[in-house]
Amino acid sequence: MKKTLFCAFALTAGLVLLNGCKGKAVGTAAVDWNKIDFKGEQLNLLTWEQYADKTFVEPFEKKYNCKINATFFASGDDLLAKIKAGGGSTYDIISPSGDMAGYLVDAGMLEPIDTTHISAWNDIPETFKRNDVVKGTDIYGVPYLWGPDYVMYNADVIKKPIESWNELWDPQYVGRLALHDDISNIYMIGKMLGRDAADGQALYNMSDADLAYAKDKLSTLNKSIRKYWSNGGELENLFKNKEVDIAVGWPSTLKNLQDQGMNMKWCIPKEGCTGWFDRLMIVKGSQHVQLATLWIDWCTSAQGEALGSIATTFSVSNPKAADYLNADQKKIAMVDEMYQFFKSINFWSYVKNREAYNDTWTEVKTSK
Amino acid sequence: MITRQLKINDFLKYGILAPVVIWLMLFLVIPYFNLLMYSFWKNGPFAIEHTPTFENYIRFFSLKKGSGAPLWVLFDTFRIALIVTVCAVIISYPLAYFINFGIKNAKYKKMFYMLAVIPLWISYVMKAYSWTIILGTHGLLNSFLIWLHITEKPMEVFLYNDFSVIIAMVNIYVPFVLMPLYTSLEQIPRNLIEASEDLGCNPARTFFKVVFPLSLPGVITGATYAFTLSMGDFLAPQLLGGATSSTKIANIVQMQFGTSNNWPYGAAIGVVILVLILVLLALTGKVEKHFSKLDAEEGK
Repeated sequence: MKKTLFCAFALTAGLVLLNGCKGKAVGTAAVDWNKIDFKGEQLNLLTWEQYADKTFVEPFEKKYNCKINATFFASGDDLLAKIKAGGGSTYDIISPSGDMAGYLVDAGMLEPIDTTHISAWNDIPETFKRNDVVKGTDIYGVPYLWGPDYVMYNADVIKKPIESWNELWDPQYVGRLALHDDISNIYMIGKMLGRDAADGQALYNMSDADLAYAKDKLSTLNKSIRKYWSNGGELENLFKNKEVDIAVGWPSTLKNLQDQGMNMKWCIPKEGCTGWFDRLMIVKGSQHVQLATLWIDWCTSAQGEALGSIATTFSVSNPKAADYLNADQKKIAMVDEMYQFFKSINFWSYVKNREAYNDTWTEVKTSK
Repeated sequence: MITRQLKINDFLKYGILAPVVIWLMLFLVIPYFNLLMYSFWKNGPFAIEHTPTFENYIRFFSLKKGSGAPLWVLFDTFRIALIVTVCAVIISYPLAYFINFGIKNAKYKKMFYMLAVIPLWISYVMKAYSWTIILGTHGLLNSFLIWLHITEKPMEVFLYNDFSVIIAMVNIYVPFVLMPLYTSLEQIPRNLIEASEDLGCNPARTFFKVVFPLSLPGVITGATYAFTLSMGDFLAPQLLGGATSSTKIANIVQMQFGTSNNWPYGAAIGVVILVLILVLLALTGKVEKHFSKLDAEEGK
């Protein structure tokens, strides 16, 4: 009897102890996340090159006593290759554009995000929360910054804005153009053909005939291309060294060049343009989910987005960021007209037949 | 006693061999085997499917109409690599010859040799990038030509085309040709040259009959280096190539492991290049042996 009693006691004690441990683990969640000291823990970002600016990295590192390491990717596929090679043990946070986000969700490469810890979640307009990153009740991406792939030009040389994409084929620009080394040029052809008039997604699901047309059309543009650029820094150098006068590129490059005193202007041709919408996501198997969630919380907060927008000139997804931007910064990031601006852009989506798009692009680049 | 001696010998033999074998296994045999395996797998929508297929090879060798067929890119790369090799040899040979025979003082000889080889210490990317500064529209070369009144307006033909890619590669690979070439010239017994002169050969005849044939193994080794390295170069085309000259076969491979994300196809192209290079090495090895044999016979 005594033995049985002892056993029962031991069992209860064991259970209590176990519960105690569990309680402690749950307890950390209850702790105010804002006050956690991460004791030098490292958070690894795999982002577009603009998304690790020290203006918003340093305050975060200081607040949580952690270290942020950033690796950059050049395109959606590059991101995918890097995650496949490294995974959650190498990277915690990624910032894919719409061309890759849904794919990553479908491929099960992400951790769901606890949006109760994202303070700005309810401030982000519903139109920005696209459902390609939602699976069941799980949410895998928080809207961050976005912007267009527009035409930028050196206004000292090019006196009037480019009104139609067709003008890029104008013989006067031979050897003066730079385009992104990316399949997004194929979307541009789709846009020129007006394929997205009825269905915005049509640009990412073009027929074989359209792809063949895009190949021929882009191949004829080759002689106008001085260089296909592969990262923002390269495009910047091309403009600075006066190797090109017109390019299709990102607002951040335009801003950097303007800051260096170049007379750069931008325009969106009448057919409209494509663009990107980046979401912040956590890689499956990340060792620092809590810190990663805090990073997303910080980046998407009003102040975090404002700092991000100042560093990149990209548009924000948290309208409250306007409180932290001055009139000039608001104008550059089109904050006051954000919904209109948002509507004018066809945002990159996942291309199912990526191989055909990639092949088409390679054929363009190797056509003689 | 004898067995113990044998054991020590065995231990020494295998002990010395073991690290080499392990190294080769880990960093050569296994990776190449892996590459070969990958080349027979299939790229699925989310992950690589481990079902054997020849699809990747068929895709590579299928000659699509028009441009873009990787096989044509391979030929184009072959052409560029050949030009680079010829240029590198043409530049390296007189240089190596001059350092060997032109400079009598051993100290200066060493100095000149070092000067020629020093570029190897500079990072590749830096060397490639510096060509954009030299060849650019507003670069050094154009400024110089304008200063000389050879041209009025800066010319754009120097940069972002095959020309700039070739120039950079030649610049980068010259030391690789120079080193074996220099060594082979250095090893030519001086008395052979003297004998040739004694027998009434003029310097040109001496060069073509004695020096050049004896230096051929060095030329072949150096040329092989330059050729294989430029066949596999993807950085110079990417940094200095223009719209249609920035994609060589190595870029296509790189794209499969990056932007196109099709590892099996990339592996298959890798295997094709590897086989091509191995065949080439076997051929040049044979030619080299042939000339070395002549060497030995003449030495008798």
